[in-house]
Amino acid sequence: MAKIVLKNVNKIFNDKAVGVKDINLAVNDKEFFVLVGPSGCGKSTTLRLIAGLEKPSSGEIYVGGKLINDIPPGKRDVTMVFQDYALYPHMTVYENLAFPLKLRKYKRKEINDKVQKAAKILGLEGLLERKPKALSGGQRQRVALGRSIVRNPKVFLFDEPLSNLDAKLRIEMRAELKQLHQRLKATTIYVTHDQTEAMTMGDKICILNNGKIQQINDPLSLYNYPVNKFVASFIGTPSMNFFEGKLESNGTFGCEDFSIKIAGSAPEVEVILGIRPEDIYPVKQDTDIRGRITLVEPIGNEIFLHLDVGKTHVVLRTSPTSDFKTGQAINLTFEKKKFHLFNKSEGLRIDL
Amino acid sequence: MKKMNKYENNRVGYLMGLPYIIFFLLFVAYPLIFSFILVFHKWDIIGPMNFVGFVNFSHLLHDSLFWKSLGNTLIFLAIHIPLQIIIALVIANILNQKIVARGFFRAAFFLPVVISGVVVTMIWQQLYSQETGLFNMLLSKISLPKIPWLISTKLAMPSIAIMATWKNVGLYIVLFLAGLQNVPVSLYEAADLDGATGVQKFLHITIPMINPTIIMVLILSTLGGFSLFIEPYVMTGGGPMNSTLSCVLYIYKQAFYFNHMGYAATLGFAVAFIIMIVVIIQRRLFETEIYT
Ligand SMILES: Nc1ncnc2c1ncn2[C@@H]1O[C@H](COP(=O)(O)OP(=O)(O)OP(=O)(O)O)[C@@H](O)[C@H]1O
Ligand SMILES: [Mg+2]
Repeated sequence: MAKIVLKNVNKIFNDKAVGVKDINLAVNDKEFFVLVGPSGCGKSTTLRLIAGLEKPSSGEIYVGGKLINDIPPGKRDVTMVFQDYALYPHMTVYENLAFPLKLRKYKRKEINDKVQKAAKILGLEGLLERKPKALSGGQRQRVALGRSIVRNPKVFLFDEPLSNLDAKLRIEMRAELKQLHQRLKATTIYVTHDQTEAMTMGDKICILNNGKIQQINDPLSLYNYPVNKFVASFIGTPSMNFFEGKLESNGTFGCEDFSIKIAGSAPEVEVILGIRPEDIYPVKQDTDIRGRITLVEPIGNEIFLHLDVGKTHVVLRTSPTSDFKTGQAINLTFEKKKFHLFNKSEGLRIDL
Repeated sequence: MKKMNKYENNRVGYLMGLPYIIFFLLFVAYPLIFSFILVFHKWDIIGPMNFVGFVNFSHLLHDSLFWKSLGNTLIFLAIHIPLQIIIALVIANILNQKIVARGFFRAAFFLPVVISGVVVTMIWQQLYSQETGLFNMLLSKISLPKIPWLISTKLAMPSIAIMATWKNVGLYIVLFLAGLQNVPVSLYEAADLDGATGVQKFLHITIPMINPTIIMVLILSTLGGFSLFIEPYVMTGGGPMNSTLSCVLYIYKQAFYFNHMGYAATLGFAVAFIIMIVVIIQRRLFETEIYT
């Protein structure tokens, strides 16, 4: 059992730079939990607090029900894979894997068994005598993983482990990491700034911004019910489209360029209407919403259309069968019930 | 026309290099060649040079005082180098951490390096003095027997080695600090998570990662140690009973006390050759790949 709980955790560097602010989260045993957010939002800081590489300025951190604030990193039963792998350059792959076991005073034979087993899981058998310098990025990545799994820890922490790999390898390793997790069943916290990685890998995702938690939920809930405008724009590629306007009491949303009925009735407030690229359709018949195509991006199985609707830049996804040209004017309609409304002042979600 | 231009450019380059070329010819190449010629001659500076062939060499092989000076120098190195490396490494490691007044300590440890060797030696001569020296006075205060720092034939060379270490250690601290700063922080963090203690991190990460700096310090202090001269010259004159007679002091005495210029040159070349052998052995034994 290794449930991780953070209670009101704050980290302020040198009394001024905010690392994270009032973090409350719970990661269930065996869960694959993803921390995602833009650069500098406090992902690494959160991870390093759990690993014990940073001390929280205030708050409590529990692993398996035990308060670990004052336990040194080596005794936390937590392991971390660093972005730059942090392999020991003067040791061979074998010695790198054996190092944590040696420090824990395992017998030589036991060390050998564990190292061989980890090497087999990760396909490193032929590389054990090499030094890290003589390995490719993907192989180094595996060694870093191996150094973590030999210890059989309760908690795995990953800090952007795939960001140094090329796109193809990244997708392969993504699947491999996920399979490894299913096999080892250790509680895992995975940091990334790539929302696709977050969506595809996470059982649960936590979105951070400016050191604060924005939302924690499973990937689909995040996608369908973002609690604020930041989450809405962060999750999904291409990003959600936004229109600034006003709600009328009759349930109509109106902005400079069009108005659209979205509910039976509504409070009269200034809002931002969000709609995802796949929920906008080009149509033949005349509609209230008109756009001019500024860019056509063929992806293969679909097309991204960039449009100007009045002064608003809009992206939509459509099938590649239709023929579009830059400069062409088209009519659009929005999928009913797929609107997201956020109040203009704070960007918080409004449900009608 | 173009060729002419190129030639002009080259001439400016040579002109810029001229001061050093003159310096090199006058103070490096000329003495080197001249002393190599001296090796095969007898010369007392005043009279003419007499060609003697290999007589100086055979003399060297049977000169017990030379071998004693070499032994003395090796004793000095055996104390001075390990002491220097260990102290410099430990202090550099401490100064590399976030401690109060780090800048002050860094400067303080470096200070003896820039003080003249003669001045340092005179200060230490007083510290080591048998009756009035500070060390022995302190020892008496706490009712311990006095130590014959510079009087005992056994202790005189170690005493000089301690002083030389005090004088030079600042330089090596600075070199080690530079080396330590090249070790990626994430290695220490990985080791923290792997469960390493401070001492284990020092042994398994710091030492192997700064191996190039250690080798550099080893070689620099070997070269420095072999040229030990000012300290025994000022402090003991080579005594008591030649126990602090270093190679270079012996060469100096042969040259300027006894005016045996040819023999002194021979000794010089012999010592250079021995230093080369020692450095080769050190590198074979201690050098690893470079990792940073
Ligand atoms: N040692 C430190 N001293 C001062 N400020 C720090 C320190 N470490 C992090 N910070 C600050 O804390 C904030 C969060 O940093 P953190 O490294 O957690 O971001 P991140 O989400 O991991 O970003 P990235 O995606 O770029 O890695 C940043 O504003 C950063 O400048
Ligand atoms: Mg980071």
